Amino acid sequence: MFGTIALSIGQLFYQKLYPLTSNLGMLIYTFTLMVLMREIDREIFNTVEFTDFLKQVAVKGNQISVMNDMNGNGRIRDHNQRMLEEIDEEVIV
Amino acid sequence: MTFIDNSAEKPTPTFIILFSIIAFFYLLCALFTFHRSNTRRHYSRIYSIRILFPLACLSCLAENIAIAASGSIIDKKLSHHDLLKVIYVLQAFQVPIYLVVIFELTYLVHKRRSVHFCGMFFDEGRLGRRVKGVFSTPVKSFVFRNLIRFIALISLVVGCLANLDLLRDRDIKDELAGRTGWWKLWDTEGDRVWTVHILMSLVPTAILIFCSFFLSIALWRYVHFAYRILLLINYIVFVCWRNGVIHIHSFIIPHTNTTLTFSSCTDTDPIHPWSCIHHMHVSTHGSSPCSAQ
Repeated sequence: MFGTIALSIGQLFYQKLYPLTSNLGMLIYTFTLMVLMREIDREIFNTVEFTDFLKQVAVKGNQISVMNDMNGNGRIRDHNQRMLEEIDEEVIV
Repeated sequence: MTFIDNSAEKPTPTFIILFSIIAFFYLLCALFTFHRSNTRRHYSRIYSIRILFPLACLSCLAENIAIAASGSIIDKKLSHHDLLKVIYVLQAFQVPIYLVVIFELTYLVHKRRSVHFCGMFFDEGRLGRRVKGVFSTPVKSFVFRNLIRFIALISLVVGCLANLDLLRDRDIKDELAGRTGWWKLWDTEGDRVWTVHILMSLVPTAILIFCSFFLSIALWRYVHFAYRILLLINYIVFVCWRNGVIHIHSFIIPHTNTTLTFSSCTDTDPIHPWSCIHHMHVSTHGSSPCSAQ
């Protein structure tokens, strides 16, 4: 929003200042886009981190589940294995 | 937006220094965006951010260098030199690239966090498949992305027409195209100019401002949504942490008590870790571990 306003203001001036203000407005807009990129990185990093946390909790929950004792067909173990593989595949940005 | 003309005034030393500083910052921006978009997996998949965004910064860099050096260009009457025409064309690419980049960034963050955007619904970072047919999210996504590309293409065509002077200057006022802002068009007291050529030089940036304003509002809404989600996440983590702390306390306290209360307290020990894990399991699975799978 700040970059958009800066870009708008930069487009208003007379010919004496216009080359400078238009480029300055565009530069501020570029800066805000870079800040946006950094914030998106942070958001995605937090998402990956929290997803890992939830998966680890799910794996631990499955490990202590009473279903482990009730059937020995290894479904929960297989499920846990898949989840751990998914965690390993996640790229930490 | 700016371009050089033989009839333009030469920049003063102050302006030359300022344009050089702006050019230097654009160089830094190009390096930063190139580095970031090539080292992050989520950006490297998006062609417009990975390739075009650094190129737009380099285009701005070239434009500012040309303006800083415009004194000698005006002296030698070289405004129609082929190299400058390349810079004019590159400059026309700036607005379309910025338009696509801001849209792709907004789209990316909404998609990755599964927040609805422009009527599109996302699920676990993917396009939602709940609604079928013409109004399904994949169709809307296709329409919106190509609509932005189409608007960017129009901006590019208009920018090229204005910068390369393909319409030919019919009036002395047309020479101001690309060198004056909106104020000159609406100024009722001074020397007001209103020509198609000047308007065409301002329209691409106006389109970018309009679209950016709309997308900024979408991002604003997203931030409020993300803040609510953050509060929820913090609550879940706090509850898990709190239960863990209660478990540790319940484990320590019985051993510090007297013999009379020791047996009754230690009997309750297993309940606390169980309640902690149970709470986390319910939070993540939506059901008790006893009924899992």
